[in-house]
Amino acid sequence: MPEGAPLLETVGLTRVFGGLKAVDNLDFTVNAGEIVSLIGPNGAGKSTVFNLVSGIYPPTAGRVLFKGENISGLKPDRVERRGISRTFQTLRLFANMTVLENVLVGYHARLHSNLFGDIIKPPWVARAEREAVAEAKRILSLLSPRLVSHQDFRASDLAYADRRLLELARAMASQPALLMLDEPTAGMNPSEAVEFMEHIRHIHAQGFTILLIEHNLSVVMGVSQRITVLDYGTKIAEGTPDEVRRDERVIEAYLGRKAAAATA
Amino acid sequence: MAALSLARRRPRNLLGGEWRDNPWVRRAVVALVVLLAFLYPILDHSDPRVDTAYVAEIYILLALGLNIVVGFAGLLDLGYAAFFAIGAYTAAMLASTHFSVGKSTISNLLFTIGPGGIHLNFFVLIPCAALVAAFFGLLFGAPTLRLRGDYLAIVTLGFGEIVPKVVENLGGGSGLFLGRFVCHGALHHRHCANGIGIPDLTGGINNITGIDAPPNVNLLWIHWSWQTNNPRPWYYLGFVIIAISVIIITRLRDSRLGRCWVAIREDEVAAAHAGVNITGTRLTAFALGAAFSGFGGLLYASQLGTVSYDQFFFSVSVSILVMVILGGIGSIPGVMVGGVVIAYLSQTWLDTISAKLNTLGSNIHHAPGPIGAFGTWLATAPISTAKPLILGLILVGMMLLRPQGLIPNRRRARELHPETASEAAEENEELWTVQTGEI
Repeated sequence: MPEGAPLLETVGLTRVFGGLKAVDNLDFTVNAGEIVSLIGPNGAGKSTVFNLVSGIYPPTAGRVLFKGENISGLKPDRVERRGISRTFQTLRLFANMTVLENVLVGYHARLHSNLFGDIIKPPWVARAEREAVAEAKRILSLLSPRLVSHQDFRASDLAYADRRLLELARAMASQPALLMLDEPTAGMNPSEAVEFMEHIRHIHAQGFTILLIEHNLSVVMGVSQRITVLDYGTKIAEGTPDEVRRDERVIEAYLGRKAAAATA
Repeated sequence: MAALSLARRRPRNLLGGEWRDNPWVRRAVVALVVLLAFLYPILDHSDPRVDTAYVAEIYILLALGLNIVVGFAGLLDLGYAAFFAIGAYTAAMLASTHFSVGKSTISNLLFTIGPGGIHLNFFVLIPCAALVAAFFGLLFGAPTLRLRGDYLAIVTLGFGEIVPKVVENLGGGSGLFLGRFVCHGALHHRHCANGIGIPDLTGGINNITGIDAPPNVNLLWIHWSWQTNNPRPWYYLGFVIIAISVIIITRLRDSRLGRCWVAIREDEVAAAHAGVNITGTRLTAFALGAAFSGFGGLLYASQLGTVSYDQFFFSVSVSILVMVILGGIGSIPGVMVGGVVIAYLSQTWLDTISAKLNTLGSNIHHAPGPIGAFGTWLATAPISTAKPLILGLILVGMMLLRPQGLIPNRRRARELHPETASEAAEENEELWTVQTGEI
């Protein structure tokens, strides 16, 4: 994928729950090599967009294009195999698996083996497994030495910020073309959040394209190249952090009409 | 400090201490058990007792198979006996006098087909039974494994009831005779069609009899014949099949596939987003589980020489589930112990207990008052027929006292007991020592 070419596009993406339009006719693009943020007040439809892209539920209307191909309606494992990994707003780790095993499951899509290979374990399957373990360790060491030294601990025994990092490691394991992170700093204290954003910059430098949902505006402004702002399921602004920061409708959505009038 | 407290957090288990974690201790225990199991039929000269051990082996195979479905993949299957039936009937249909085909006999090393029936070589039948059972596992699983938890349990319950009924109704009986091809030569001596116009496939209520035993084996110093009343060759046959099964199942558990089963059990959504095909992975578990009960069915049918559809109803499914839960869901040695316990309980222990209690009753029935009345009742009480009651009590007791089973799988134990009382106590103790400045 050449740098700057559109990697993920949504075209008229719409999702209706009952009478509620959670996402309404949304068009937005993530280009290869970018860090793009999706922001908006509570209930703006950010997570719904993620769920539509990653295949938790199909869109009511519109399409999701990834590398130019229509992926709307594909099941999550298919989407993941196409090259989109994600994390969740509420941590979803395999709590009773070890740290290393968690990452290995993330690596799963890259392992090609069949039942026969699993039982007989010919040399090439054993080698692929060894490589997977080495790669999982490499990813852990990329993020934090703490994760490496705790690789045989079960995931639920890690500190909260480390669990967040582990979820990120699991998502990175399949070497996705696009990483989608749903409020990765939720529940972290400010210094942990800053540290986490350093990690995001770091993995971006490794060549990952990142789509981020964030609540914490100061975090988003520092790290993203472009920002898309949602409110009530529709896009109300788009642009660089500076453009978005000055946008009247964004201020209004976040702070209310009066505050917007005051700043104007 | 943190590392210390983590290292101390271990679920309690039957054998207690942490020496169980030592791989050499584990290997030594396994080697000892295997050696004892291997020598048992030589040391024990009682044929009936070795015969009971053979039944235990069949139970072990069934428990191992169901453990893949329930223990590894976390799918509650209440109709597992259906696959046991399918394994048994595969053996019955492909290695007996049931189907008479044509007028002349074709015979070779692998099979014999003719008016005398279809007789597949037993050793060819072993993979066949597993494959047929696995095929039906796929067939039943494909439409149903999208369901979860309770719904899946109900559907499997349904299949468990349907299969023996279908077997019953695909037997002979009066009706329109359409298909000639299957029981061509048998037309004269058997009612060759049933109510729905299909030839007699399963023997129906008449059962299938005359199922072949394995052919004699003469390899080096091994000379085994399964045609005599000696149960030892059967025992060793089961021993070999269990050994192979345990190796296969252990490898599956530790493979990429085994990891996926755990991941799905822990968090289905996250697993899907890690690229795991949920339905496919579950279906594999279902089919593999079925395959091992195919082995069980084959061993059962060949030794008994006859199968009957009414041996595979719900109570059998429940018994197998009891073995798995009693032994320890997800634990390979655990479910094997569970199988052995249930086999001996139902084959001998209940009868022994019953006889002892009856004797006790007849000894005290002359006593005055209520004790004598109790003795009179006890002397004739049919305790050995109360098997379901006792199994039920075991289940209730286990769930209350030891939900993780006799030899628990560590991960499963944690899932069931996320924070056991002892762990909480340890934690309190730690806090206390920190406060008082010890260590």
